[in-house]
Amino acid sequence: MLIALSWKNIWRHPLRSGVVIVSIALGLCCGIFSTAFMNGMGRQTIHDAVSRELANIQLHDPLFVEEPLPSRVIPGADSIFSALRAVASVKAAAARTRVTAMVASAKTGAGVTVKGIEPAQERLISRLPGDIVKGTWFDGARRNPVVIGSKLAQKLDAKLKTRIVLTTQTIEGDLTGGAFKVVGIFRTSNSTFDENTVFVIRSDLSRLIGAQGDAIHEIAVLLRHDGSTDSVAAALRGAYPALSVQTWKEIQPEVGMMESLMRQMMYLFVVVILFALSFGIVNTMIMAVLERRREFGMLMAVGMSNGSIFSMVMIETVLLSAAGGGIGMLLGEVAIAATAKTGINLSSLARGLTAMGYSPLVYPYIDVGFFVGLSIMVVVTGIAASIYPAVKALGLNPADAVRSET
Amino acid sequence: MTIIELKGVTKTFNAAAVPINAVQGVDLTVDEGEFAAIVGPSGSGKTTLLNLIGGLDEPTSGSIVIGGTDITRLRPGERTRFRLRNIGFVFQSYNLIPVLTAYENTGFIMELQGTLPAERDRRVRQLLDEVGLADRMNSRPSRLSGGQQQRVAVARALAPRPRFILADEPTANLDSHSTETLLDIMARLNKEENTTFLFATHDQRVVKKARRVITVEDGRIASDQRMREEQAAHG
Repeated sequence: MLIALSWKNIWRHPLRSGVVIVSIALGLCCGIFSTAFMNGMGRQTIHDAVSRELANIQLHDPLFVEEPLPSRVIPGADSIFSALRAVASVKAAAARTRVTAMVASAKTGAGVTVKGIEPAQERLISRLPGDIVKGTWFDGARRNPVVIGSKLAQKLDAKLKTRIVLTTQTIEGDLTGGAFKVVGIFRTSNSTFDENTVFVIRSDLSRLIGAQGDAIHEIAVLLRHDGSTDSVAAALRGAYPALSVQTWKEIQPEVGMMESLMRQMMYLFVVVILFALSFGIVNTMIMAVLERRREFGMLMAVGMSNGSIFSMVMIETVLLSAAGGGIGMLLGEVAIAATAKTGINLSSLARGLTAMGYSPLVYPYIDVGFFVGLSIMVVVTGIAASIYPAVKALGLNPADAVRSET
Repeated sequence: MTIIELKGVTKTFNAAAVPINAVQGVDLTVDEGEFAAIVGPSGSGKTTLLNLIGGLDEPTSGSIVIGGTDITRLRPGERTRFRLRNIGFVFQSYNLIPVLTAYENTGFIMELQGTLPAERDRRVRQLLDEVGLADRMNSRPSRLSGGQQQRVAVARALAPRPRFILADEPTANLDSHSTETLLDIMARLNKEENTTFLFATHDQRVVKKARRVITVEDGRIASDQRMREEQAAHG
């Protein structure tokens, strides 16, 4: 009875209730979409990092993690690599040689990380081959080809077929260098990555650092499902106790933190919006109570309990909030659905965004769990906003209230 | 059988630190089935007396016994429950719930009491029929005249079969025709259902219909007259 009565009470003043509902709906819709937008940026960054740089899991010699010297290769890397590829949850794996080096062109030099890769393997694990904007991903390349980022190319004033020199340490610790020819230039959403990372053929790099055969410093593992990262990493730690097994969150904690930070920010953002909206709700409900003094007096006189009166005002407030919240969530979901596939292109801001590691194309996203949390927050807001008006209603004296003008 | 018994009831209001004795040492008994009017000039204390009998206000001293229960000894929550089970109210301004239909308003208190829907439906239909609003049961108060709204209010008060009904100036907002109709209905229901009616009123039309007239002056009962049935019937 109370729910039905409360719902009818809301519509005594359709315009006033409508304004409150619309304000809640628009506030939440904007909040949800902004949250989805931020979330999409964060997810894109994580996705880019995992799909281009990190993969889900990486294996190294523990000493290499402390200090990446060329001599610190993974012992028995070939057999480990073969075993990993046979694991059901592993989608693909790539074995890499990795050194830090100085790269120099005729114009200038820069410090970079050089990754020696097998192009075919890397295609299976990384989206980077798809980011080539000039040249190719080592297709038909002869001796000492190199693929560099557009930012580095700009810095070095390097173009396709430009020769650049990589200077690094050998396994023995001696200085060595070699000339490489640019065969491809990539551009990702992370300009720092584009400036600091170059790719060469693994055998070329191994030869440069004086290794017998291929020197494997890193095995990157891409899983079929992101969600199994921690469990697979735990299994690998058990299987290879002598190796360092790190998930992408451990390799780049700042990227991992972004995920939890985004989640906290999402809720904080919506809490602020709901807090602001709650003042409007309280105001409306106080008006509703004060203009129904006579009616509340009658209800008290005929024997409606304080609990029922309190509940009626509370249900009324919660229903008002929930109506606005429901519409707001629906509108927010529609806005997200409308942009989630095509993405929102922020090319005009691309330079600033890529400098921070964000993609200029943002795909807004919110998971179902957020809507569940949001629904609870809307109800809690309604309950909190109802307390003062309900207490106000209970403070009425029925004998006076039944004779009042309103 | 006595259903209302007031002994030495006094109500003092401390308005602006100056005590006002709205009701002073009132002794009063009302028997089951009475159709009584409390009359008196404005400020004489008749509404305060009605509020005290209805448990809407607490006396400063004295006792108010309703059907054997001293309501002055009840805690506020208990008094609310007592009102729900025992007392019906009819107000000057009808005080119907505007978002509910005549049918829903009439059954509202029964619903609060937790009466089963089938029983409630039967009683509501019967009462709306008796007050001549069977064809308006789906109308909201805004679609009813003042007289019709007050008839719904009477039906609402009677629906849960209270021990008695307190009506505070029930005809003050009604025209002559509506007043006559309403009084006839209440007099008939008083007889048919043996429901006790106690009015606080200025309205001579009500006074003429009453079988007992209690006059209050300066918070005291100045006179208490019982009319013969035929006197009351002919006004």
